[in-house]
Amino acid sequence: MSNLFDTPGPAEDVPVSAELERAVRERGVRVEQRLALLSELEEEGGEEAIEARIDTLEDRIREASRKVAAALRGSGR
Amino acid sequence: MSEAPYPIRITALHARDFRGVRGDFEMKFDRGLNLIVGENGAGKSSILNAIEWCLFGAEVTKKSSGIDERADFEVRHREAEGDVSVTLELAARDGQAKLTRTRAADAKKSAPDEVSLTLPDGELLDGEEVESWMEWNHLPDWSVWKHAFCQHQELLRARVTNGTERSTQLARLLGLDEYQEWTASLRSLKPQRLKKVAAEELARVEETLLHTIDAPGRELRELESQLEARGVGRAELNDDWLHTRMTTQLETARRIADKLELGGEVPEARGLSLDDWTRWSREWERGVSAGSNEFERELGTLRTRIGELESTLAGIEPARRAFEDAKRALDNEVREHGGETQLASQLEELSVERSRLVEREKGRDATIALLRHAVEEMERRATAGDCPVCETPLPDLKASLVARVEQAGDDGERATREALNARQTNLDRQRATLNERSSLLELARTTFESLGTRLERFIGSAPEPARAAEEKRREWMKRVESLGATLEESRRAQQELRSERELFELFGKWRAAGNQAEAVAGDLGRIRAWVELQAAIDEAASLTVDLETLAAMARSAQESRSREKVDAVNASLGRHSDTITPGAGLRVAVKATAAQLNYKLVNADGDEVIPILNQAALHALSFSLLFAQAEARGAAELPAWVMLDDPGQSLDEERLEGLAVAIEAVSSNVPVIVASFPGALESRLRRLENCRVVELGAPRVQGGVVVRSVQEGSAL
Amino acid sequence: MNPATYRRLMEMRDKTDKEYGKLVQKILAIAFLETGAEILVERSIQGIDLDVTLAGTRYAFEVKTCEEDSLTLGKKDLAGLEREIASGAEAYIAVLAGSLLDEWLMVRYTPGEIPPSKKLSTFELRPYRNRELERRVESAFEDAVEKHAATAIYEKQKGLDRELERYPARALA
Repeated sequence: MSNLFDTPGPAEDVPVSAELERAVRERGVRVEQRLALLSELEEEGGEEAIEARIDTLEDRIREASRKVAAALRGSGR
Repeated sequence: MSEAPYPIRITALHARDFRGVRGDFEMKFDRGLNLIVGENGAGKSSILNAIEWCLFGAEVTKKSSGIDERADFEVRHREAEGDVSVTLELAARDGQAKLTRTRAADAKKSAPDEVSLTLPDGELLDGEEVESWMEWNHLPDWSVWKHAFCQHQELLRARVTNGTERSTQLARLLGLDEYQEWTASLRSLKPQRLKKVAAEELARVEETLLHTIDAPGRELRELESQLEARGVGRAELNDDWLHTRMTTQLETARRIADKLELGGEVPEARGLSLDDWTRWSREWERGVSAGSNEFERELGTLRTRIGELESTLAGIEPARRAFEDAKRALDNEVREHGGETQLASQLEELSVERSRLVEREKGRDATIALLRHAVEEMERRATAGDCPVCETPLPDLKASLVARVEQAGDDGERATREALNARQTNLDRQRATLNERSSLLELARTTFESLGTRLERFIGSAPEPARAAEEKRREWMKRVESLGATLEESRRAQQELRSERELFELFGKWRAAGNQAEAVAGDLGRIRAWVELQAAIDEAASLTVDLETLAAMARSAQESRSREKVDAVNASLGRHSDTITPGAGLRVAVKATAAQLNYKLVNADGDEVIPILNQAALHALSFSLLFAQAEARGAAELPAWVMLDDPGQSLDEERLEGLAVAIEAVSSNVPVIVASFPGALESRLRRLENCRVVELGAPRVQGGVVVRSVQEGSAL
Repeated sequence: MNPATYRRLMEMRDKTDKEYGKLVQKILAIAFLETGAEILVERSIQGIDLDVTLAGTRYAFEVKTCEEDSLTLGKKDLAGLEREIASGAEAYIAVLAGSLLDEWLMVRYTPGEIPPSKKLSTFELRPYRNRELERRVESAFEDAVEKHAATAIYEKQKGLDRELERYPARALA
């Protein structure tokens, strides 16, 4: 039922994603990257995709570290 | 972006062959309170289920609906032959819209339903377009439906007893459920582990790098320590020291080579590199080893000869004495008993005598034989006293002959024989002795002569063999000493050389390590994997920081929204709660942590209420939340209504009255549909002015819902 | 970091203790001056640590050295940076952590992005790095350490101030 005084009711809640998008733009830091992340999270399976990215990064770090150590040990001869 | 909201509501339901509805069924709904009354099995729940199924389809029928009992939810009436369908008429902004869901009679279990929406202007939408329209117009999804529209018996208690569920419910009450979901989602991703992994791996790389840089230094110190243990201090370690020691070794080598009579050149020290020296030292060692072998052989031979000479010298005198003794013994024997010739002559004589004796014995035996024959003849003849020859009577002849025969056996020949035998024995004994002594003499001679020959081999035919032998022995001993000394010196020189070589090797390593220790080891920038590691860590850091920033932004936004809304919601919640359970004084409190916001139900004193409520009170609280959410949506001009399926069964008498009052209050703001068994609540509600009552008849034998009566309420 | 530079810095830290951060700051200032800073103001007490003009652009640096990989930016630090932003400078936090693998991090500061009084690690500062600034000072800093470490150890800030005075671009606060 409509408001007695016929003024617009309490504003419809802005979706969180829009709220966050506004906050990201306002901050002005890493805007593109953060907006892309937001889009990814909104999509179905977005969380899983990001988890997978985290896993991949972990593997990359460990593998590269292993190679650096091997290269150093080889150069130390 | 969405349009400005409009409170869409249901105005009518048309159902065909849906669950308890057999054939076609219609029902209208008012803005205010709609009461559906009927006994068990009359079809009350089927009507409410029809509304749900039309809006949400398969979601309401699965176990994943969140309602366990829906796992084997049957959509179709058992007697139905045709399609199942439900249509809801909706009062939208521009007029009536019709939402229809149909399930074909022959549809497979997994096949989707057909959904269509006829808009007020007649446009027909289907499939995803319908979903989009529903979302665009803020109609609830299944999750919101369960918490803000419809009370399901099964979920009644879950609504408030589970802490996370409670916080989510309350967040929903505040219109912040989406924020809750976002912060929960962002929290569930744990990128912080990348920080830990990066730190671990960088620490590992640093350790390896330090080890690599330090390696030449460590080696240097280790080598200095080894050299120190061999008596070479750090201060001595230089090229002069090396040169001096190399020179010493070369001089020693030259001397040894001369002594061993080796050929080959020993190089000069000047300008000789360590590598060259090392190479030469190995060759020299091989040469010396070969030369030493020759000397060893000579030494061995000499030692053997000296041994033989000494044993010869030691044996020759006794041999000579033995020879002379044997000779003397033989001479004595010959002197005493005569020699071989004499012995042979005696034996010859004895032989002759023995022959004579034998002849004599032969003659005797012949005589005896004759006499015996005469006796036998005489016995044979009757005339035993007659001579067998001339037949003269001789009465004593036979006796005389017999006596002669007896006598013949006993004569002096026996003594002669015995004497001959004795002489034989004696001569035999003499012969044996002579032979023995001759053999001994021969042996002694042989021994003596062979030693003499051996000695002559060593010393030649020297006039004084003993002295010559001694001189020879001394000469050889001297040579042995000299050879021994040379070999010993050579062995020591080789050992020393080997030791020096090891020492110089250490020195060489020390020098190389010293050069390396100053160099910068492991320039990381040139290692490709290092560049990759940095890139991976940068990416990890960026992702982590971005996710954490978004989570912080979501939390911050949620907090400011919470502050905006909590007062308005608390007014509604408190009112309903006090209506159902007077004096409860409930309100929502926001508890903020760094990571998230939690919502709690507290009483007037600020204490959390859930742990102390009994079951009926929990149910009452659950209704309060439902009503408050519906009202909040209504106040925001969003589609909102309340559907209650036999709510009275979960409350005690005291609270039933309160519930009725609360329902009345809510129904003045949002449409309410209550399905109720006839009883106290139904009686109470029926009396309300804005209550439209539809009474359902007793269930038919063949199934189907029957409307017995309809009592219209006064529309608001 | 170059191992020789690292060793020098560790020696400096061991022998100068509490002054280490200030000494490193001054050597960084020398590095900027060596790479052609037009104007440089270096402050040991109040205000922003380094105010450097490079190719016409003004940069404000809050200089931080940390032994473990952890630093905190106080409200005063951040307020100072925000003032500099307001006055038209690009604000940075120059961080040198204490391991052999660490290099200078030039971290761009944006208000609200880095919370005050929060324990941060270099990992969290990586996304904000300005690689150009870092490359600019890298080898100049190593050279400056090599050249001035002894002065830093034996003459401390006074000695380094004397070195700074040689540069015409070095302005007083």
